[in-house]
Amino acid sequence: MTTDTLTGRDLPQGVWRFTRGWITFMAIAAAIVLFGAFAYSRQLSEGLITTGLRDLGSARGAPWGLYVAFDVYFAGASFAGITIAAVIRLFNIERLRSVARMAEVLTIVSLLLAGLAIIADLGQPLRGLVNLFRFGRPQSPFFGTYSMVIAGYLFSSLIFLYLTGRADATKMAEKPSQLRWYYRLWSSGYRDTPDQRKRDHTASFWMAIAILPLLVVAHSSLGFVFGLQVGRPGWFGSLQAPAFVALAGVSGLGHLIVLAAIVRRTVEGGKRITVDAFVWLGRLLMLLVFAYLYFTVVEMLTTVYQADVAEQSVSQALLTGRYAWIFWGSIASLALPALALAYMAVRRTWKLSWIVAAGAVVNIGAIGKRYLIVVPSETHAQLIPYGTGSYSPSWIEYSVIVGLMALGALLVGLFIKTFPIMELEEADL
Amino acid sequence: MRRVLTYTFLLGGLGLMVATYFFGAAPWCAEEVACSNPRLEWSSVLFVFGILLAFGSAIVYEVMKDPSDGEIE
Repeated sequence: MTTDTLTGRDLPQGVWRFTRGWITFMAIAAAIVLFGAFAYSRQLSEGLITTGLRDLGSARGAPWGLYVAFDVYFAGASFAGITIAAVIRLFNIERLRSVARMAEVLTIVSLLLAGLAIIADLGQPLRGLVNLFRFGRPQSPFFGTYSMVIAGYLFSSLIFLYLTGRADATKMAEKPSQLRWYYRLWSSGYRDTPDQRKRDHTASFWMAIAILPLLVVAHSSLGFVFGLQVGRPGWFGSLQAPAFVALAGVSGLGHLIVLAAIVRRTVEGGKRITVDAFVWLGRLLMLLVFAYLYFTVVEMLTTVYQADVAEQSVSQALLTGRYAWIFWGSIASLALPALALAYMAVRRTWKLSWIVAAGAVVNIGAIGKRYLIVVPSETHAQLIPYGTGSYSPSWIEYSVIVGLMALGALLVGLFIKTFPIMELEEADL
Repeated sequence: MRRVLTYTFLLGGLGLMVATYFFGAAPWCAEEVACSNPRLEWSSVLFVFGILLAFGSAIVYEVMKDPSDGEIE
């Protein structure tokens, strides 16, 4: 075996070839992950007192803060990935085929991060996890979140990625490299015979059929975690579930657009992700942002029109109070990209840089909105006469969250160097 | 054989989900303390296991070799 084959020079899409830029990126990401792990170790040894999280009421704090906001955000980011991947397979949308696999990877990584974010929120993670599975109540949306989102959704996404990657794994195994064992393991006997292709098509089709309703249920159940809490003004409401699904689509599509742009620029053969694909994603993003903004307007009008005191307290904190800068900043971060996309749609002239910028900016808005969904209702919505509370995340929380984001980048970066991030074509072989 | 195993995984998984949800977990009521506790501890795990089995049927269907396929090497 020559040095070239060992270093993977024969492998397509830059797989197993480590550029200086990639190594630098991964080293920085790994350093941030390590710092996040250090911060979490402090929290684990000293307790949640190291965070800004405090009890409701007498402690005038918020027990759910940055971790829960990002749990919801990460779970949301996974939505569009698997939706797009399933829709592409289901309807055979050729123009988006190049982004299908990265959408699947994005989903899996986001779901892992969501699970880790919620574990970080638990003072005693092991006790929490054991008791959840031991005493879990199916009527509770928490049960739905863990069974649907973590078990069903993550597992089905992993299977979907595994099955849809087998054909490429077989082609990769034909080339000599250090990763040959890995590709053989992944291909698991796939030979690309007509019968296997037919079976692969059938399995992918039915998986896609099963995944689409599952993810609507999963994200709705995440919305129900908040929307069914009758004792918490600002959360209780029938719009939480559909709004969660819409905002999940926004953040996920935004991520997918940004990741596709990075792959297009940095991965060999990335130009096969056509501008047409970005336009398709941009149009979908625009529709979802407008749908979400509509939900937001309806919700705000309902709560400021003739709501009770506690509801008004939350809406005032959002519109003109302590959280106004986050609220209006988030609205602007969602509305301006949507308007820019609408402008391009009307003019029928699309700029790739604008679409990518819109994908990035809507995620800032999505993070802000997730924070606002979680925190203000805890600090400003007391049904019993406690004073207004406050919440400021500590450096520990910021470090853990940034560490999780870096972990996501690290995992995607590793995948790109070990497996084709785009489905293989004749030109790759 | 593959078809049989696939359906076993799929229906077994769905059956496990239904059984643990309706008979193992806490009953659908809200008035008594008994409504809070699962009738069978760890029924949540069994429910999740049912999900894994049901989706695992896709792997069985696609990966398992079957003499009737005529593609045994």
